[in-house]
Amino acid sequence: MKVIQFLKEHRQFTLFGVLAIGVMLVAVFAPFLAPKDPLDAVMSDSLLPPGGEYLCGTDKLGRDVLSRVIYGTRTSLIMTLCLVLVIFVVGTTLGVLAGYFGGMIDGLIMRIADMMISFPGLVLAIAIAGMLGPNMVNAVIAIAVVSWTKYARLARSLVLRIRKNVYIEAAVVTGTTTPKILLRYILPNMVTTLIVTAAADIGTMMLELASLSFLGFGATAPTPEWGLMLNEGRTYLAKAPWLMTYPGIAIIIVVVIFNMLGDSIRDILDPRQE
Amino acid sequence: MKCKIVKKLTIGILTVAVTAVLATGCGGNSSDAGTESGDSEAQGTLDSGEGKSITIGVTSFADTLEPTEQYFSWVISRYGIGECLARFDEKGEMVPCLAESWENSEDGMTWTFKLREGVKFSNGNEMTPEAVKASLERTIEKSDRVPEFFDLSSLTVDGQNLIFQLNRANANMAGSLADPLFLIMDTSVDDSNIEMEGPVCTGPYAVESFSPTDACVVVKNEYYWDGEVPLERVTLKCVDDQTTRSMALQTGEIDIAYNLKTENLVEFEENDEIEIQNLQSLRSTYAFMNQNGALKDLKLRQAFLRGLDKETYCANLLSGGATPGKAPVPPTLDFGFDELKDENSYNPESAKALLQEGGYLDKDGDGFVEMPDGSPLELSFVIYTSREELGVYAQAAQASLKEIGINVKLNTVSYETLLDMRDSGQYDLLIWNVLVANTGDPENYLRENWYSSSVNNTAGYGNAEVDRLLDELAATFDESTRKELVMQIEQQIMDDAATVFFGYETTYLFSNKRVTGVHMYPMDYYWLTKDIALAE
Repeated sequence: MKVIQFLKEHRQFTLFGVLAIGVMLVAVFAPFLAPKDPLDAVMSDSLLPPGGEYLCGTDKLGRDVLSRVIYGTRTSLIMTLCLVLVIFVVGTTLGVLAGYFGGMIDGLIMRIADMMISFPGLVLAIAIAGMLGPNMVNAVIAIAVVSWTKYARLARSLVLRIRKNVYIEAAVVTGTTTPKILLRYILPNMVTTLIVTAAADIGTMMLELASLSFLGFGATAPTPEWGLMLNEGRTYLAKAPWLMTYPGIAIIIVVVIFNMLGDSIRDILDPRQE
Repeated sequence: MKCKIVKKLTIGILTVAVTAVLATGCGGNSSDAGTESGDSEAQGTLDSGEGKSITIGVTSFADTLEPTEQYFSWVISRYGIGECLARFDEKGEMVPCLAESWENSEDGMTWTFKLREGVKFSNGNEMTPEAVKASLERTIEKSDRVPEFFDLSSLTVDGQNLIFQLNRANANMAGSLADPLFLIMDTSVDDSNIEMEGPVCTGPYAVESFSPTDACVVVKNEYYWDGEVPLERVTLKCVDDQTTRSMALQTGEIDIAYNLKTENLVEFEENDEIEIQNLQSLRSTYAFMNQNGALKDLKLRQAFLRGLDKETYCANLLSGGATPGKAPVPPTLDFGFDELKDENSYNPESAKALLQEGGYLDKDGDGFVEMPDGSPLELSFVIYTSREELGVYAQAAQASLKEIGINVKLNTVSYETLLDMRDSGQYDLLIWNVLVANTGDPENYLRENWYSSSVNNTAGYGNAEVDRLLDELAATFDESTRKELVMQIEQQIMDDAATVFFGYETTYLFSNKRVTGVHMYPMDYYWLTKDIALAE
């Protein structure tokens, strides 16, 4: 009952939550939804326009664009969620350590973070991905390396603020161990802010991964990935615009859904908004 | 609230104004330099009094302008900077250039070239026979590709003649010397910065500035020997991306675009400002199979070849932009293409049978076969980006081979990286797109790629019979015997399943009609020539 009440009160959250779950279901059930094998190249059906057997047309090698877009949801979603999880965990951990212990550790971690943000993010990511070699995992690593700093800085400032509270001092005085203080008193007080940041980041991260793939530093052929599909379609823009249209629409829809979801989560959770 | 809107508006207007000022500033600068032709129409008429300039969109692979490195001399020749003793005309026939005539001894061991008189380098220095000798000696000393062309014993000057004494007979010495590698440069000038400044040569244009990734600007050679050069300055702008190049031509940013493909035709269908030429080229696209790795097994190579449906790739995927390949030499040259027997044509069933026979089985059920010893088989196929069709071939091959269970991983790199990877042999398959008759005849091409001791043969291919036939070919003058020999060599290479011959492309040249004298040459050493001018 309470749940329904909550969902009714937060219409926007409900709407985009449902849509986001829908996107995830598409990813999970891709083999059932896709009409064809996304890797199956029927070369006699090269660059067929949308319609008939192929609802969204075929690409250069005669692969079904619709199936590739559907399977692309898998690649994009899994990679994005992994990426956000990695930067969330790594960034928060480092930030908490820096904030709580201060001194040398703080200096070291924050100077590394400063170094990372003194370069334009995507450019540094391109350089790192270029060094590691093009594949999806490396793209995730490359973006993670340049994006964790945001969480580290946020977590650090939150810890510094929370540390000043009397209840922390009380905990210290009563002999609570440091790990316990961190886990029981500090993390719960900051986790909402971090989750809000992470939720709002999903869309951005998805775009960054797609950008890397578009530039040839992420997914490699023949993986169905939206950014890569855009790049492959670019050559045939005049002849076969559907190669870029559908992956493009897919990116827009999914990014908008996750951005709006992130916004609604922030509206609900962020105490500062009140 | 109102105040805020006004503020925002003001900021907006200011931004627009600043951008406009900056843009005009930039425009002004670049037209001064004559490099940008965004406003080329206006500029063209303005400049007609004092200097005409055009911009050509090219794909470039030259890191430097040192002619003896890699194939960079091609770029120098294409940009109208360097010339050789002989050249090839629009029909592919050899014609005199810096040499007026030549003759050879019966045995093909002695060649005498009579040099043209009154030719000057672009710095005004006289092109003396000694200068030519010095230039060729520099090339021979610096380039490791020379032995595949000829084996020089001595080079002597006799009046206006240059006499080549060879150790190994060469029936096509003049053709060899027409390869851009042997372009003539002035060696008396300081060459310590030749990488960026370029060599001083005899062509219609001379280097003004060069940046490997951006552009090469060339200016009129005042001392050109073959008539007045029509243009003052030409910018050869590197636009490696095919789509960008096509768009640049549409907007008028460039006047001529090289290396556009069939898929670009549709973009210019209704554009009557653009002239489109095409040529069944002498270029062959193929992939080396590195026999130092998993591909040393003949059965695997045969299965690989039989898994490729090249006819479909060319007809459907490239929309007829290429002729399907099977042999080293394309059918455009008369070397009995149709008579050659290809036992490794498309046949997925026999490919699978061969894999089975060779012990390549899918033991872990992932859809791909493993090596006979059980280790995973993953072939790395290196391709480069500046030629769009290479990616199509490679991806199509990957898809076809998946059908028969061979796992191919594509590795897309820049052309420069590809060259390094080829030299160091870091590949299983490596794509290559080359002119087969670079000396007017396929001999040098065959020798360079399939002679066992050739430096460019990094795939580890070696067949004593091929070596013997190539040696015999070098000393044979008779046309029909030469053809016979070339065919035998080709058949051997095909039987050994040494190389994947994908196809022979049709090349296109798109140019704006305000530029005249744009021709396509079968030997594509000549892009910017003295004939290219602005229409009156």
